[in-house]
Amino acid sequence: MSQMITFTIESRLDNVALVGEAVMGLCALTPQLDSNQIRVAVIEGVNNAVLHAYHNEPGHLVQVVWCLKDDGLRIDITDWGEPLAQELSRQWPDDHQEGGRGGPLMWTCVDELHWHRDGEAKTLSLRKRLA
Amino acid sequence: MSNKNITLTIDSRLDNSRLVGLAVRGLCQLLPLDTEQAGQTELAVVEAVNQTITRAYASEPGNELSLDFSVAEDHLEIQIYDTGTTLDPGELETPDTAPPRLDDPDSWTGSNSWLAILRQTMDQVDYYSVGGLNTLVLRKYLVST
Repeated sequence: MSQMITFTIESRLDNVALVGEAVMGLCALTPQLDSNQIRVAVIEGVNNAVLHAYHNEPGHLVQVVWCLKDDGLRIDITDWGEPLAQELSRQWPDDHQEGGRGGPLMWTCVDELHWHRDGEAKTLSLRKRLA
Repeated sequence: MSNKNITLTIDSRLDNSRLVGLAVRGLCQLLPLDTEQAGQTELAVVEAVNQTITRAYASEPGNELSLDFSVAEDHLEIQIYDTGTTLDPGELETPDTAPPRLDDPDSWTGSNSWLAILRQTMDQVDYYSVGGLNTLVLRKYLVST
C-alpha cells in the first residue's frame, strides 16, 4: 500500500528549505535510505523549478508529491514554467563551465531520474529503490 | 520580510496523519524551538489532523485535508482546512476537560480532550467556518535564541 503527501510552495527561494526539511522529516520512515541524499536531490529539483522554470519570479506554484510504496520512494517535483532546454545530464561539466551541475548532483543522489511533460505541467521524478 | 509558507495535502486517512506529523517535525528544525516545543507542535498537529479526519470526515477516506504551515518573524501559524462537518462553536467555548493523564486511559478519549491538548501545546487556538470551509488555526509564538 502506498503512502502519499503533497507539498505546495510559492516559487520563492526562501520556501525551498521548507520542502527540504519536510521531506527530511519523512525520512524517518525510510531509515535504509540516505536522508541527506534525498534532501539534496529534492532541494536541487525545487531550486531548478524556481530558478530556471520561473526565472526566480515569485507568484508561481511548485508542487512536490512524496509517495512511498513497498518497492521504493518516488518524489515528483512539478512546475508550470519554462521547460528545460535539455535533458538533465549525468555528466559533470568542465570546471570553467557555469551551471550544469544540478543534473549530475541529483543523479548521484537517486537511483532513477525522469523528466516528463503533461501539457503545461513539467514533472521531475526522483526515485530511490528500497534495498 | 514575507512569511515562509508551505501547504501540506493528504487524503483523509488516519494513517496519513503520521506523514503530516513527521513533515512538521522536520519543518520545526528550521524554527527557534527547543525539542519540547517542537514535540508539542508535532503533537498538536497530529491531534488536530486526527480530529479533523474523524469528526469532519467521519473517518472516511477520499476527502482532501490541507494544512498551511506559515512562518512569520515572531510566530508560527498552522491552519488546517476541511470541508466536512462543521464543529459546534459551543464546543470550543466549553471549558476544557481535564487534560489526559498517563495513568488514566479513560481520560485519553474524553470528547474535549483534543482541545485540551491543543490549548496546552499551542499559544492560541481558533476555529471558524466560512462558506463550508472549516479552518482550525494553531499559533505558536517564536522567541529567537
